[in-house]
Amino acid sequence: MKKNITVATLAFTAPALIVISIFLLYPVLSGFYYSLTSWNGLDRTVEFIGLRNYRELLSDREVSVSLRNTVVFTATTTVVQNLIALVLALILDGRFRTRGLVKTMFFVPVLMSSIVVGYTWSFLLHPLFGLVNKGLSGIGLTFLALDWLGNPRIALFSVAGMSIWRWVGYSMVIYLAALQSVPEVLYESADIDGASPLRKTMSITLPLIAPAFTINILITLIGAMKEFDMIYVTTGGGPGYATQTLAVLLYNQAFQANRMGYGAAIAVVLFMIILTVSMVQLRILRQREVRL
Amino acid sequence: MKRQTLFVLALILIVPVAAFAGGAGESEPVEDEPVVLDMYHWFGPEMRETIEEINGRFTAETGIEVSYESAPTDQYRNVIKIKLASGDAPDIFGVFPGTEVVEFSDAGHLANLSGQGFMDRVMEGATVVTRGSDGDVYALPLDQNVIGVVYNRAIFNEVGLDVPTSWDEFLSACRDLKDAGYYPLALGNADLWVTQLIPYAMASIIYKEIPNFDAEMYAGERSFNGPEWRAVMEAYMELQDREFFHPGVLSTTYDQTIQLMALEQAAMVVNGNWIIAGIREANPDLDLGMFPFPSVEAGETAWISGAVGIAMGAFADSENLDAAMQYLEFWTRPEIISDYLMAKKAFSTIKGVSVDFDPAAGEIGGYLAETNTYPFPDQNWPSGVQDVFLKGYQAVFAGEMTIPEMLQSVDDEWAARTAQ
Repeated sequence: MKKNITVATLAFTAPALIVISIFLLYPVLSGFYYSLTSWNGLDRTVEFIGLRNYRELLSDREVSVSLRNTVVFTATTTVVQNLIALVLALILDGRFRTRGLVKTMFFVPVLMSSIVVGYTWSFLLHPLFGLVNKGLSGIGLTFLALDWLGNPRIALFSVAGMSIWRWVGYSMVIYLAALQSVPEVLYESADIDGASPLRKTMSITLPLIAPAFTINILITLIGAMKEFDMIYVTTGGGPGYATQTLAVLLYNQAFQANRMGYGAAIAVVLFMIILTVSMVQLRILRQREVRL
Repeated sequence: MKRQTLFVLALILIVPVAAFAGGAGESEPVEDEPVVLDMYHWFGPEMRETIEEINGRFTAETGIEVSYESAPTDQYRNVIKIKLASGDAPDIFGVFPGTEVVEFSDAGHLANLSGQGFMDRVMEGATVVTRGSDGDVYALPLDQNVIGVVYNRAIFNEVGLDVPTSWDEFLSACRDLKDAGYYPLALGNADLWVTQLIPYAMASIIYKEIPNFDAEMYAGERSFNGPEWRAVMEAYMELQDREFFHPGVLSTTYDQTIQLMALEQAAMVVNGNWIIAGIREANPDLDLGMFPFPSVEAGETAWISGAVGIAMGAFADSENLDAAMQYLEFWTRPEIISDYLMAKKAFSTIKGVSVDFDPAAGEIGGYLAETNTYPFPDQNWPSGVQDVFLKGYQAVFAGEMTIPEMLQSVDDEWAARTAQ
């Protein structure tokens, strides 16, 4: 097939190109531009200040705290969510009566908005009114009845827990799909060779579902690094700076402190970080995939 | 298929998209259509009925319709900025008194109200925080609020307490309430804006001694990390250290403090007089009172932190500016503003209007007549400073920052913001 660009091909792609340009390309590029200005989000004039925002970023204590929180949050959600999802998928891959129902139940949180999930969980976790601590105290685990969102040492993990609760069904479904595509004959042949169930999992199942790992880890990683709504609804980045991630910081700078330019600079840095981490991660995981 | 046919097909696909892209065109106003004013504000849901009733009376008189929308405070703050920046602003919108009026008017978003006749009806003092950098008035102040201690009289009687008038009496009242099994104070520090209210209520420590504290901050003669604000913060933390709040203040919201008061689990809450309406709605049977936060030695009178709470302005580039001005004028009429103040349970900014809206507020109103007030401190600060303060209160409560560290971070922000 010849690759000559005709009027018709151009005309056919034009609608998509126009939409993408207006709603994606233009905002993204203008974001880069605003990161080089001191715009406050209100004025009609915009002052160009070169790389000053980026230089300020390097010495901003809030940025380093937020970066650390982002890393902790991302690592926690990515690892825990994928582990739980994998275990759930392995269990649900078996045959039992309520399988469809259980699968649906784990998937339901995915369909809820993070605002709803966040509000509901912050009520459940409240130290005075919440069900969780009442339940824990009721069964004698009073020492576990913590101030889940008010204690700066655990607040970030509490929010990570909510995020995992919400998204684990999504990862599970992807693992499940991969599991069901592993050919039955391989297991049969392993059975003939006398392989133990553990051996079958390690040598057949896991290598063959490696592409699911790649996509799942990538999705969780990117999602966690950008996570904003859940944190904003439950703690607003607090108490103090305890759950302030880069996404929350950029919002606070751009919209609360009226520093749109600085906020845009943080957004650009966050974008760069996500891009780099995803590329590296993709390359490493791709090498481990096996093909039949 | 021939190339021409393809081309035509492609054109068909493009047309709707192009129309969509350029579609935000300004349609000419049709003569006979009634003027509709878009109004956007952060009035709470408890005010909706009153606002719509006032709007209805305005429509009945002028034929101008008002389409009213509201959003919670924190959300409103952001959405209005986006609306203004995108040029898609409502004709009438709420403005936070103080710094924001200056910023919005400097950016050319607010219509100048100084020449308007109805501004003569407004108390001079109330417009201090609705003026732009040029000294002209850019927003109509609608009500005044005070910060103080709202308390449950029945609980006070049961424990045998009088209204405390000094810091020592306040601490001993808290101790007695705690011994009687109540949470002495409800505090909703999960909501950032709540964290600042006790310090503001106590700030008469600062402003009574140094009335020009903020002006001296601008002149570089004072710092937050000095004896004055440290005293305020240490008193705040003393209440926390002696467990006069309930557990989990950092995960408790404003709404939940209303709940604690309504359920009579907490005896007092430090907040603006607006909280009275919320508590009464949750439990109409309570006998509530309100007194000034007694952050003074015995024998002295505490000042009260009071300020214009809500203001409203008109969009400078509005197509319906005349109608918007008519609307603002409507609000300055005694019969309209009284209805609003009754529902809002707030004090008047219009000359000659006084509203007996609530016995609890009436109590602090009595103190108001005898003492001095100072504005909410942040109304004079550069933008960004308050945000660092709010984060700082939480961080100190969470034990992540010490008081000097926190106040230093605010000083740093002040320096950075005023240097620009």
